[in-house]
Amino acid sequence: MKRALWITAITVLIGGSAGIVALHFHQSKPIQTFQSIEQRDRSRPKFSKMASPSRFIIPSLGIEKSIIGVGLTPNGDMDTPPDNDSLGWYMNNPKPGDSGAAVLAAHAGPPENPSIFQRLQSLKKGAVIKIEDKSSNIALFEVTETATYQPNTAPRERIFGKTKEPRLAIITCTGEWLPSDQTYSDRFVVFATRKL
Amino acid sequence: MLSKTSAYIVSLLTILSVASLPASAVQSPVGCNSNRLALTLSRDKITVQRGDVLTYTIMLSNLDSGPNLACDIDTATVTLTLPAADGTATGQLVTLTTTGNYPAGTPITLIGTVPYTVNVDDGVVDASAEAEISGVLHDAPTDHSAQISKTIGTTILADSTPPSEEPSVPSTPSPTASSLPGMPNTSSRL
Repeated sequence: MKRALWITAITVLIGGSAGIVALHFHQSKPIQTFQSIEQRDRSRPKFSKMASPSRFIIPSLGIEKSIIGVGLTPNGDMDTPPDNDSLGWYMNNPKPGDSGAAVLAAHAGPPENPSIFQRLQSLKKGAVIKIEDKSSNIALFEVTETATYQPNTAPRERIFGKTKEPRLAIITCTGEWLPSDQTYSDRFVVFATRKL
Repeated sequence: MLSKTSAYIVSLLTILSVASLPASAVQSPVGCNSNRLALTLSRDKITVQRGDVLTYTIMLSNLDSGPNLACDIDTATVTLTLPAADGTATGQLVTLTTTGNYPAGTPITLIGTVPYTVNVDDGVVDASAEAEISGVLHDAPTDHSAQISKTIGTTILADSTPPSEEPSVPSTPSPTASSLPGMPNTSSRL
């Protein structure tokens, strides 16, 4: 008897819920429901939030190097890592993987002693870049474009400026070696957007 | 039977509520116990005259000190308020970053330099500027605010030449630092 009562109660509950749901769908205009789903999805972060970056990996080039935070030099340029074996992450901009433009820089090394980062110049559109943060989360980026600029005329807004989507810009040296200045004539920039 | 059902519902609700907690609010690094953010505001001259260019420098760090283990700071806004005409730090606001990340272990790092053409009223003998940082401190499962402000004054000397009818001080706003850095020199550090 008790069991019969339970079954009846559950049946009524399920039936009632189904009726309410059916009534709701009947009354709602499909476009409004779709829009509300779109709005809900827009408000939800597309990607997981990242901690400070620690490793930079490009499987296709065999690069796996550490990342350290950098600020500015006294003349207002983005600073660089203290060696040719790691990348500098500009800490005044977002973390790689977070919304906005994350910027990394790596030394190409002098012509007689090139660093592994000269390989960046062979990157093609569609190549995958991995960034691992210090909590071992990984963000995957896809190369969208590469470009060469002179340092004084580079589009700094495009490289460092605000963006809605998580974006990555990786800067290294390229062009002609200028012995008197101990630097190269140009800067090579890899642009990538987050995919995962 | 009912108590088992109730327990099941309570467990389900607990799991759902825990799952909905924001993922970003965590102690980081695990075991950190200090708000170690340090802010330095300096200027390149001790005394100036009206019309001189004074350059302010803003640096910060977030370093461990013995048993005091720094917690990460992110989403930081760093600003500098320049002197107003009356010399107080209530003039033009210069924003150096709104997306700063200064994780534990950040060494003393230059955040920016801001040139300011001294443009105070005649008779003002001191010009103050104020730097401020406000960020999110990841010290506990609930994040907290990390805020510091620093002020520095500069002595204004009387004009060395008799004032002309038209002041020589530029009437345009002082130049300010670009929030975008220059391109790095990525040639070599060896």
